[in-house]
Amino acid sequence: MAATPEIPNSDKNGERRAREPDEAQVVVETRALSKVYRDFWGRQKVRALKSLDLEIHKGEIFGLLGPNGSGKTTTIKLLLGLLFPSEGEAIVLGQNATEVSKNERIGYLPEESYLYRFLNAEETLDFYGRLFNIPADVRRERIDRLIKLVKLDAARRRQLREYSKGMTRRIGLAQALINEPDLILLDEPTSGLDPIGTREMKDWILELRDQGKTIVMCSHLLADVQDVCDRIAILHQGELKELGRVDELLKVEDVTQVKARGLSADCQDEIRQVIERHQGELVSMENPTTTLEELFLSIVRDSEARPGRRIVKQEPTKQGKS
Amino acid sequence: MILEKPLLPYFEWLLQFDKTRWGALPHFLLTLLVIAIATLLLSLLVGTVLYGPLKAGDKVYRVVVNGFRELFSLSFRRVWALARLAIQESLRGRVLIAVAVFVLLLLFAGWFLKTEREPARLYFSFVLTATSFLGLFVALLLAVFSLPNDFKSKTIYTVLTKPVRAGEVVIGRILGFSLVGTVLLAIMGVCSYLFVVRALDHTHTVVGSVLAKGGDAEGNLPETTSLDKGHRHTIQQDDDGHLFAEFAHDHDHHVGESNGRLVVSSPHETIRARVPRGGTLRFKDRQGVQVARGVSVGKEWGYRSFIEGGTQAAAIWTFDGIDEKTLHDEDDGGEALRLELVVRVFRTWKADINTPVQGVIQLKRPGSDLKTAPEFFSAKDATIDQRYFPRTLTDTNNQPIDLLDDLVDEQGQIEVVVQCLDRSQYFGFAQGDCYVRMKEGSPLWNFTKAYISMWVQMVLVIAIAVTGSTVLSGPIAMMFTVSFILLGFYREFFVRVARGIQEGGGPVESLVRLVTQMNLTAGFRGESETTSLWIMRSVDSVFLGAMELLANVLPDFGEFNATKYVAYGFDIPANQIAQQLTMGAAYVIGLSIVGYFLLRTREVAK
Amino acid sequence: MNKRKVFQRKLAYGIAIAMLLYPLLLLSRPATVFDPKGGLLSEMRSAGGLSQADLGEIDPASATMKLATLGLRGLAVNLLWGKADEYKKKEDWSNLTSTLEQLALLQPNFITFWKYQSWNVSYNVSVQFDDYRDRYYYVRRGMEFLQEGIEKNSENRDIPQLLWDLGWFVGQKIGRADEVVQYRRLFKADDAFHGDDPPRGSEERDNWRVSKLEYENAIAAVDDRHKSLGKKSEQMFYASPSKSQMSYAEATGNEGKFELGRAAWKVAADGWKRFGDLWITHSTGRRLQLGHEQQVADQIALKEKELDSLSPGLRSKLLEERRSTLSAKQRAAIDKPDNERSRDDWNQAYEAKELLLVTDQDIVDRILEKNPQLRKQAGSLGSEIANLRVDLIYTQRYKDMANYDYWKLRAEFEQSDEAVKARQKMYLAKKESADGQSPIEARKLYEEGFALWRQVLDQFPTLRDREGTTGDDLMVFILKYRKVLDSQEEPIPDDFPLWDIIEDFDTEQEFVEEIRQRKLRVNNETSGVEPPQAKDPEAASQDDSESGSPKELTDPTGKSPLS
Repeated sequence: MAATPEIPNSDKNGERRAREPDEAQVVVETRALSKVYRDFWGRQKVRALKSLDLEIHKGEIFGLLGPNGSGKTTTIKLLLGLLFPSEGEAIVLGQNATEVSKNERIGYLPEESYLYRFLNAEETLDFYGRLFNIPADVRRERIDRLIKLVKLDAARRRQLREYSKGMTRRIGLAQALINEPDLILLDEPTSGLDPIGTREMKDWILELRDQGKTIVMCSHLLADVQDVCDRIAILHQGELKELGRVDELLKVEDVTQVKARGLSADCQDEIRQVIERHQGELVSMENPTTTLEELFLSIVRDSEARPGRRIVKQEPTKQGKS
Repeated sequence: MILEKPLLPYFEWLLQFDKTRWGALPHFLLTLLVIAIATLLLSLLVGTVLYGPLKAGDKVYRVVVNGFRELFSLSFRRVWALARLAIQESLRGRVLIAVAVFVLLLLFAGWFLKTEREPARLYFSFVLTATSFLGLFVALLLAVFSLPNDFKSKTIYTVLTKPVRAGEVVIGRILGFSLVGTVLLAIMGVCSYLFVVRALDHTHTVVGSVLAKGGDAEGNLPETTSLDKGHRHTIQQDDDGHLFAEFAHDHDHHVGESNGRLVVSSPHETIRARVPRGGTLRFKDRQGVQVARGVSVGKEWGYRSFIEGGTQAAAIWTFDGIDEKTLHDEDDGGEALRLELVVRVFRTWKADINTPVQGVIQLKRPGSDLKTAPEFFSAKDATIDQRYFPRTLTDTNNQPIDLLDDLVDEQGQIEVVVQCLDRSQYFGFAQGDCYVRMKEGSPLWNFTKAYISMWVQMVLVIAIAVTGSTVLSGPIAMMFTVSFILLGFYREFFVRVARGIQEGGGPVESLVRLVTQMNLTAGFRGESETTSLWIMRSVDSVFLGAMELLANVLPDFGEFNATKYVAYGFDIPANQIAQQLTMGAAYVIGLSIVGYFLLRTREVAK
Repeated sequence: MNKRKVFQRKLAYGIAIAMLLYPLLLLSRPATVFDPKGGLLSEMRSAGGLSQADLGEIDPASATMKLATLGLRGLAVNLLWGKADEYKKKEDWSNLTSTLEQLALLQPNFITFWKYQSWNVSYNVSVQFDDYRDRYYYVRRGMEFLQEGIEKNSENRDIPQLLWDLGWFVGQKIGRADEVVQYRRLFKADDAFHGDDPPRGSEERDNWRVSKLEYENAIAAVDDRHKSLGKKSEQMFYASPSKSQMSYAEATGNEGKFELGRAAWKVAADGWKRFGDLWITHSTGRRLQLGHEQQVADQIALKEKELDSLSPGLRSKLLEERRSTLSAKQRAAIDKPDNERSRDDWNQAYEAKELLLVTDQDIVDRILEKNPQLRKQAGSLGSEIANLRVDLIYTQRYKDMANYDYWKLRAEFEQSDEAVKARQKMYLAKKESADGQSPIEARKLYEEGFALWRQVLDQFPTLRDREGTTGDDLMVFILKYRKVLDSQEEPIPDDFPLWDIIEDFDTEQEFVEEIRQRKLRVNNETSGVEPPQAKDPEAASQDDSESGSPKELTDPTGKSPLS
């Protein structure tokens, strides 16, 4: 899945835009969902979530944003049924969130990998497969496929306690996918990963969305959310502050951005004049920067292809392609 | 063997439902019902306080309905997956250390065990008690920390977000730990049996020359064997000229010849499994009037009551189901009824200490006067006396009678009458002191049955531990289970306190007595203390009420103890094993349901 | 938290630890080969005799068990005691003994445990069995238990208690039981108890001899190893070996080994004399010698003479003064001879006697008044005499408690030929009458024996003292003699030499009828009246040994009813 995206959410062979979320099917719905943490005597301690109203449609990647303690993880846990709502309700896949049977079609990747450390990769997937009542042969085939998918083939017999963070995150993703779910919930999927791991995770998420699955993720790493999510909700201190499509929210209304290739200096001057003539304000005209992520990835790819000291170039190419 | 509570037939035990006693099944259902209603009311109350009545009612309703639905949608594959997980978890842990400790114990047992007159009894007691404790302990440790660890390390999140029913989690763990415990018990059982057999096996040497064949036996016979394991035997010769070492310390040996020297064989029949068939006991007092119990001679323990010698006082047992199959084939070709009798002798004056007290035993047809000719015996105090009644007997008028045809009546019953002959001496009997000896059971199978009892006990403890650990943290759950176990072992005491029979009163009164160093039976004095006394007693009555309720739920661990059967060499009745298995199953089911509800209503991600 | 602060903190901790090490070393340094004293705690331990090696043998099983209780030893011990009681109640003897073994592992240094449980087994458990061999087994079990306790506490200060108890068990429980014959026989043959030393068949296996040995061990523990006697009475403690020796001599005599018995009595006499020479501490702290009563009395007399010599004639003068203060009635009463005094006279005489008593203190006081220059001598003499008098009284009391005079005499007379012969006759007579074969022979032997006994009693009249046991022993013989007579349907003859013994020592009231009959006959012989129909002595005294004949309650002669 080594994709080479340049700017997120742009046309990539025209395919990404093609899959529009199915507006009609609501996968997750919360109505006035509230959660108050009480202490032993029933007194209120923390209002983690205050009356959240949310709808998540099939086939979209939905992001829950917010600083630490804003209620993102609480929402995820409420949707999974790990917590019971104090008020309101959460409907997931047409059933109440506290129903156990809805879990048949749900995958969950927790923040830390909460897996049994004394099992190895195969046993882990086998265990969770059994929990879904998947018959043995189907299970075996899926385990194989998933392990190859998350590139843990070399370490499939090693116990989980020997895995690095990236590896545990990958096996976590694998167990979330063992039942080929329709809805996948990811809790801080990219936190703590290195740039390569982050890129891989984002690619997987996009791939899953392309297969028609709905993905709900929460994160405080804004850049990653921006890259991946279709719609976001921003939470702060348990309240919903903003909800909408990423591109719409981020659009800066009154600034036009033009990117052109092969402009000579004369051309650039002319453009400046045109803008002046139309009473526009030239904000900036310069070479755009590519993302650090791409530089990093290109260097790493280069290094893997040609080991040895790299010849340092003075300036990167304009195109950003290598 | 001491049987303080007679064993009821299985279906009577299970299904009886009348004034005297409630069977196990009605009791179980009632307890479940009461607990269910109590929990419902309590949750409604708490919910009303927290959320208001309507919402509370709605929640409770949903929990109950969901509960029923989910309880019946258990998937075996999931349960098995969770069980496998539990087993893998246990194996990674320190289970094997328990086995190592056990083997160490056995090896060094010699430090703790001294030679006894009845070595089989001692060794079996030791080995079974050690196994039972160790098994319980290991099961407890494994089971009690498992779920709390899952909660602490949050691995429970990835499990409960799969379509796993809470009931499956509970049952899966119980199953998994039970399997580990079973294997552990099996290993310990094999080691124990081998240990006992090896420890009991011994031989003696005989100093003396070869017995001159057919010659003057008296002169050349060595008197006794060597002193081994704290005892020696006298050498006797039976009617056929075979030598044997006389019965002492619960066994005897054969003495044979090998290479011209006398060789003592290994012990004969040290481990036995008698199969007794018991009867019902009634007494006649000294005037010959039927009474329920005999005379008391002032012993604190009222298990046995006594009949007076030289009077018409008698102890009469009635046995059921006597027919062809009950008789044994004897060596002389005939059949005989084997009876075993235990007599407890009480002398009011020493008389001649060299002569034992004489008694007489007769068989009698129920409802008639037909009796066998009196058979006299010398009472062997507190040892099992074996008596044979051949099929053809003579009655009191010296007429020949047949045991099965004449003495056994139409319902298959026969009576055994025992009386004491010496004046002013007493014989003491309890119902279990006379029984018909059926065909011998297999000691190995008997030993296994004892292990089955232990296994049920262990499963019970695991179930309690897992249930407790669904809502309690590790150490607290451990304390909870240990309390359960302790209360289970001392259940009799617990019930006596709850009913106010035990001296020393309830918890508060006991505390007061402890602190003021008062005696158990001393009364409280002082007019000024009446109010405080009243307060103390009222608080206590609340506690006692709660204790009485709790006692209904507590298992009686003493019942699971089949050690004494094996130690005394008696066959454990299959009926008893069936009852124990049923009880175990009832507890596991009940506890699983409770565990399910506890886990389900718990907020996992706190 | 910057690095410097962290470093400073570590340094501070390190210094604190180093500083604490020094007092720690002082306190808990162990005692080793190179440093036998060790730290403060180690010194305290050895001073108090508290280390396990000081208390007794180190037993690995015990140490393991104690550790295995994880600090709950007290709880475990409580539970086990409860269980032991439970097993005793339910007559489960093997479990009881094994529970006691477990308790022994857990609290080996608790002396009361050994005392109580060994007594429990020997005395309570043993009697529950019907067969005397089983009873003996448990008696021996209890004794072995006690031996184990002694071993485990061989260094402990309380050990004399246990040793003395062992002596008591071996002596009394075996030697004074109903089954004494069987127990003594079994004890002598008991290889498990004695082992190889003393060897089979030797006289040293006799239970009384072993008992004496243990008593002597106990005394050695007190004398040589300076262990404390605890609350035990010294005179009983030091008298015990000799008493055992005397019981041994008696027992051998009863079994027919007379020369052995005589030698044993000699040993006993010597031992008793040595006991008399021992300094016994009275409960008030005074030291007494039981055998030296006469010396003390002599000393008192000497001192009194000295006092009198200080002021001769003072005593009689004081007496006269006192006499003059008597009332006329008292004087008259005192002057009357004994058999003429009425009750009132007796009272008066008693009062008068009191008044007439001139004590040493009175003399001393008078000397002080009259002759002040002799004050010092008189004072010191007076206090000496008072002291000696107290000593005398205490000595007499203790002698009474130990029955010193009787046993001294007994040991002496049992060595005499007459006594040996008399006992021989009794023994033979018993043997003859035992199987009922030759009652005539038995009767003859008895009568010869009783004649010899009469001689002995005349020779040593104090043997007839009620405090002694000779009278009771003779009663046993007399009872047997009467049985022989009964078989020949004859009453005890009037010229039977030991009628006075019967009258004084018939505690079981067996002979009331015979005594009465005889008295009547004697009286009537002297007064010449026809004796009433002599009731058959057999019919009069029933076989039932529990109570006397009911006929005596309505006895017309007005004899007081049986108590």
